[in-house]
Amino acid sequence: MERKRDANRRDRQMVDAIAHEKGFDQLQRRQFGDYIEAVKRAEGRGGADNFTREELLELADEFLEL
Amino acid sequence: MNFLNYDRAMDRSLEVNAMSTVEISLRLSGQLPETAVLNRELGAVPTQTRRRGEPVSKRRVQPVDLWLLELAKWDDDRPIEEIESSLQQVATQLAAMAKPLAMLDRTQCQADLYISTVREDDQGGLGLPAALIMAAGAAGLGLQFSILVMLDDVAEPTNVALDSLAVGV
Repeated sequence: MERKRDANRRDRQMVDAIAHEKGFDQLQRRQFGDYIEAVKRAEGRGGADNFTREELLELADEFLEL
Repeated sequence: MNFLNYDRAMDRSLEVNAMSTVEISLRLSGQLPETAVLNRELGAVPTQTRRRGEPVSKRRVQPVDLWLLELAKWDDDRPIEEIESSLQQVATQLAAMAKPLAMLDRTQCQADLYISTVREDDQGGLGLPAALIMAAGAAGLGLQFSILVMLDDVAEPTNVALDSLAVGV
């Protein structure tokens, strides 16, 4: 169980880290979160089927193009 | 172009009061019948549809067919009575669609009650009324929870620090 908790924490930090990396402000950061959730739902992913760092980076660039 | 029903302008309402949100959807995905056929059989018009292989952005193509109906959405400022009332309506709506949903070929597609929540609070959660759970069961829906935590003011150890701890153990 401990390993899973650490993994979840890293997942969260991944979104945060990418938001930082892309220079998102607070509003953009939250909108990026909403965007991640929208894409995850639209792709037919399961609740636990999270994005990799590479996929999140792609999504961040895509988000900036909206 | 908006490929995902994601409305960035609407999302700006979060600017003043960022808060936790919940969205509940009926999601069909995989290899689906034609949208018009699904609409007729389910007696509903979807909020969003996609076909596998269609471009969904400049960078991606849609990996599966999608038929999505948004059922409820709220933020944590909404009175609990309104949320409960909304969930009862969702239960009624799903119960009416249960028979055709249950008949969909699960070897070709997946049918889910999809709950997505973005959390900006360190406490919270949600409850589902029995009627909604029964309707989802009658429809043969799986339950998918997606939770994204976006706390803004909590300092946590960095990945490097966590990795160091793991090595230390």
